[in-house]
Amino acid sequence: MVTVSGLSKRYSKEVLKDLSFELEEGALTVLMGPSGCGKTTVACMLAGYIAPDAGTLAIDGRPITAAGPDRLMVFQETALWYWMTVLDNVMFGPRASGAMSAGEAREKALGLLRKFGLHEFRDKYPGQLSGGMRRRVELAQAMINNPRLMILDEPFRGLDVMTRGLMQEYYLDLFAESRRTTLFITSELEEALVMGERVLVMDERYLELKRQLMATLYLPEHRVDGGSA
Amino acid sequence: MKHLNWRGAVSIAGFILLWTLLARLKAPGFAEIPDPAAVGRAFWDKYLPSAAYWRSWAVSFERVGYGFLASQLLGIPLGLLLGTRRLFHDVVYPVVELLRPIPPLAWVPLSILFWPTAELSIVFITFIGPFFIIVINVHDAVRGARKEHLWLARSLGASPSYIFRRIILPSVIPAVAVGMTLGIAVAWNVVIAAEMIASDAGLGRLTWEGYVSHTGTTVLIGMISIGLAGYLSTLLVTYAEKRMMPWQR
Ligand SMILES: Nc1ncnc2c1ncn2[C@@H]1O[C@H](COP(=O)(O)OP(=O)(O)OP(=O)(O)O)[C@@H](O)[C@H]1O
Ligand SMILES: [Mg+2]
Repeated sequence: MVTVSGLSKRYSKEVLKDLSFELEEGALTVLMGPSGCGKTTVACMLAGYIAPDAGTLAIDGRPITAAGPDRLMVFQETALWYWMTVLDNVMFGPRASGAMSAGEAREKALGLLRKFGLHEFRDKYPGQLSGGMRRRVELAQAMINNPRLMILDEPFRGLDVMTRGLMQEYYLDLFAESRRTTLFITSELEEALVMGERVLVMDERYLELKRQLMATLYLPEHRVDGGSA
Repeated sequence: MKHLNWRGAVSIAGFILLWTLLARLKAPGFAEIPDPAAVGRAFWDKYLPSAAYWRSWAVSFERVGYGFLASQLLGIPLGLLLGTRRLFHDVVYPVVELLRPIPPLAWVPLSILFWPTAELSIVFITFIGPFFIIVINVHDAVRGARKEHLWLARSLGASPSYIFRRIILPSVIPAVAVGMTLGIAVAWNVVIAAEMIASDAGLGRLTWEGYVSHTGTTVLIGMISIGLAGYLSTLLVTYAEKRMMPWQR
């Protein structure tokens, strides 16, 4: 379980003010809010890249103070290393941490790429792939490390409508398989409703009230049961 | 094979025709400038078979080669250090900023005083221009590395040295490529001028001697040779850049 409490952050202006929420174990939670309300900032705090001015974050009771392979993030703008092939991008984690031998990492990566329909693109570079394919490579790159928490920061923004729908289904299927705790960030209500079992709504307008609103929208039924979404 | 660009061919033919016309008519300023045919003949009869002429090529290429290579071999590591080491940056960068605006040719006198041989001083001057370009390019590239690229690597458990080798080094390659393209052009610029001022060999010297001896054909053959030499080295650099960046193919 992930607990966030009393999070505040200001740059030149106040971005987060006393923000608290929880992510349930094995649930797909959506964090929704308009552009600029601080969603990416929250994601970066969860990943351990940015420290809050005040407040605490914890995963399974352990405070989050630094980056770690238990919390992996698919960035809003692709962060694939464009100078590495698809396979090298996916193998990077286990090789960098020394968690697997080269052969083992390669096997595992190829398995994931096959599963994600990217096997024949293993020797291509990210720049040679479509947006949807890049997103799947990033999922594989994270999944190979078996993280506790997946953070997806507006992962399907900028994809065409068709691809976007496919990718949403794709992630829901993937999620249904493992029920890996996921924080899915979006700025669109429709996507929030398609993806989330629970939707947290962040709205910067409430900053004026000196308290950030965190509405929780519970959906009437679970979307992710037998892939009926 | 690319399609022949007809417009380009016509325009070049027109240029040569115009040059011929102006030279034959002895238009103002063209009194000492030979026409293309004379240049071609002189090249064929005098220069093509001349070992001295080809030695000029070799000498200039060697200077550019050493100066350019040294600039990259020293400049890339310096740029990396400046970009990654805070303390080193704070101590050394101001000096770089101080020396960088001095045009390479302004180094000629000092260089001659400092280096024991004329050859070394010219190579040094050829080194200076591309050196500052590559240092600044690499430094800026390290500084401008996307934080997501570094964050992701950190999350995946990469050590600082692993991140340096697998993330920072490759992410500056495009900047190195830009620095090389700019650098090789500067190297030729500088070597030609330096040869005119301070050398008794090379393509720059050849051209200058043509001027001193009022031999228009030599001046023009020198100029064309320099252009060609610059073009050939750009081809080499472009080839190297393609090899450095397989992802751009
Ligand atoms: N490093 C920074 N320095 C200064 N201001 C920042 C920084 N990072 C974010 N901000 C500001 O904080 C606010 C929230 O940024 P953030 O990226 O978290 O928003 P977001 O909800 O993810 O928006 P979007 O939907 O556009 O991605 C923005 O106004 C942004 O300009
Ligand atoms: Mg964002």
